Amino acid sequence: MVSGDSPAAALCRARMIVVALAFVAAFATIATRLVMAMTVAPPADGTFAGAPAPAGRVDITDRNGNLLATDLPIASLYGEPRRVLDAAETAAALVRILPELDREQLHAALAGERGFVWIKRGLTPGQQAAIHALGLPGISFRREQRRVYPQGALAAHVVGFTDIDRRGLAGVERALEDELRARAAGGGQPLALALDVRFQQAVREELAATVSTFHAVGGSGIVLDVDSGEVLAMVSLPDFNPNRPAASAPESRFNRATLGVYELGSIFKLFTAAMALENGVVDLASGYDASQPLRVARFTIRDYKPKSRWLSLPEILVYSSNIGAALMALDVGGEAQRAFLDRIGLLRPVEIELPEVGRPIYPAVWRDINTMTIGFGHGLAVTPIQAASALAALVNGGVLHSPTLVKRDAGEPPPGQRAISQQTSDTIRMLSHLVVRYGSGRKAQVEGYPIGGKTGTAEKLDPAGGYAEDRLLSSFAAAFPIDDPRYLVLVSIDEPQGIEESYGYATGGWTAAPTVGRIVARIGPLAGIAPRQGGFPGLPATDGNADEQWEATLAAFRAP
Amino acid sequence: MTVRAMAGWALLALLAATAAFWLKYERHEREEQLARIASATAESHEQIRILRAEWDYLRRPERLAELARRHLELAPVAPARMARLADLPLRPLHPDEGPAAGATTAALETQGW
Repeated sequence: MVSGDSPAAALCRARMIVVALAFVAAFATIATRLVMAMTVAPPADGTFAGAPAPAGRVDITDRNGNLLATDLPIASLYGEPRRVLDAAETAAALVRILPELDREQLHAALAGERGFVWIKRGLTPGQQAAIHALGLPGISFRREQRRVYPQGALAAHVVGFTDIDRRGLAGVERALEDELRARAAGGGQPLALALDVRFQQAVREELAATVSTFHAVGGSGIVLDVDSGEVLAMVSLPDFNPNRPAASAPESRFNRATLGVYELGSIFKLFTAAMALENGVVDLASGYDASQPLRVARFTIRDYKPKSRWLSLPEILVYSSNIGAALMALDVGGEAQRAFLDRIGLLRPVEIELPEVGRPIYPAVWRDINTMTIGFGHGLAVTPIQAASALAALVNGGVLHSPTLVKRDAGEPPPGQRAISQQTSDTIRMLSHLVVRYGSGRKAQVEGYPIGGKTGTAEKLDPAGGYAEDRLLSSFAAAFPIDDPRYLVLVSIDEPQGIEESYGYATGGWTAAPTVGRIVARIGPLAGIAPRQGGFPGLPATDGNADEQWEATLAAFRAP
Repeated sequence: MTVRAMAGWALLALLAATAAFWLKYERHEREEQLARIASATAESHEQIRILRAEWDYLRRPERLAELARRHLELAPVAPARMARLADLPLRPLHPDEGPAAGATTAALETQGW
């Protein structure tokens, strides 16, 4: 049979070889797989088994690494109704330990047909131990992660909060939801905000003191790095505890610093002055006739403390003349004013890492009367953060940086667009310093830190129409040290009431200015800014009679 | 096929089976060890997170300010209280001589200032 030379036998042998090879291959594969299955562990869903499970959300810290938000493990209680022996007894036992639960509801849930019901998310260790000791069948714990905010209310409006399943609902937690999750998937590097908890604490404490002293309904405070646009502190009062957001009043969750839009009043005279200087309409020696109240259409523009004479540009700012600012704005013209305000970012919503951003309100038709009132800060409502960022551009040499809540890399130059010239910025710094030295901002003066700023007192809109004289928004914006500014501080007090110590005044100069002064005195040393004596370079010395100095300064401006 | 060859194959099969068996248990043990270490690591990570959160909770500025008020006779540094070392009038090394800034500065430098 071996001799088989017949074609049929050869074909048969070839077939047998093919089949045999196939069997050898199959058994070899099985043997290899068997050995591999016994010796080599299958990769567990692609990750090293020892690595901790991805947390889902990274921590949020301040610029120095202090925790603002983190995930902590927590036990939650659930029931499996089908395994519960006696629903009524179980419910009664649980309610004894968790009195906040409704016994009837719990009974109904445990007597039901569902496979799984949450009983209580987030137990304290004591509650967990007590329930564990009951040994109830069908009742078990599940370890979960919970978002915790160790700083409490300190930065509540900035950081925001999440729901019980750790989805961001407000603040940075919501605005940067994707970033927080992406970082958790890619290594878990925490997100560092630009905030400094020490600055935040200083602003919150001083703001709270002023709000309570003047019986105000609330307030906001912002500290901005003028050269990078980083927000070092942002406070809105009243605030809330983000660990229990549901327990807070809805109005306390409102972020006045970014969501509220307000007419900021005379602070806008700095913008008007910058705009007029930039357009070459005025210089330090020129001015406007403020001897008579202005009558335009059916409106009358008056000065708060009328001087009833011609006022130069420095005087218009130092005496905060509405008439002067209105005439100056009119001189520049509505179109140029609109273009300027747009360039400095006051006509569009600010871009910042928060979902709560207010849209500025301005007239659709820009008439002369609007040009004039906006010249002294009425008729254009903006968010405080927007105003702070625009003011920073006025004093930092003229570059507008978009404000940011996320820490910038130290090496990278922050992005920005030129809004005004270096020269205009220098002049505005000097003028704002005069306001603090001789004008309405005197109460903001701090020994050691020369500052420059502007007060603003605006009447709030009356729901019934028109403006309400007794409902003010009193603000003060300041930059320091004004000869080479590092920080801009903006404080607004909502509806302060005049008190005995302020002789009944509730204006920006009496409420917000001293607050800013106290904030500067606290954050200056924290920022390592060396205090120094003396005022603004190029101005007369600070000692001696203030009135005489003021006169001498004005005379120096008038001289060619 | 001789009996000897058969015995050789059988021995080889036995060895292979023993080796595979031994490997399987060795692997199992190593895996358990890995799981133990992994869970201990996870536990430690969790403890670190908790302690970290507690540490930041305990040293939040609000609490530190309150503790400082209660227990320390210290106040926040006012700007007026800060000065550069160079601005300080230094005590002369020899009381009889007048103030010699250069000499005292040099003396301070030798002391590691």
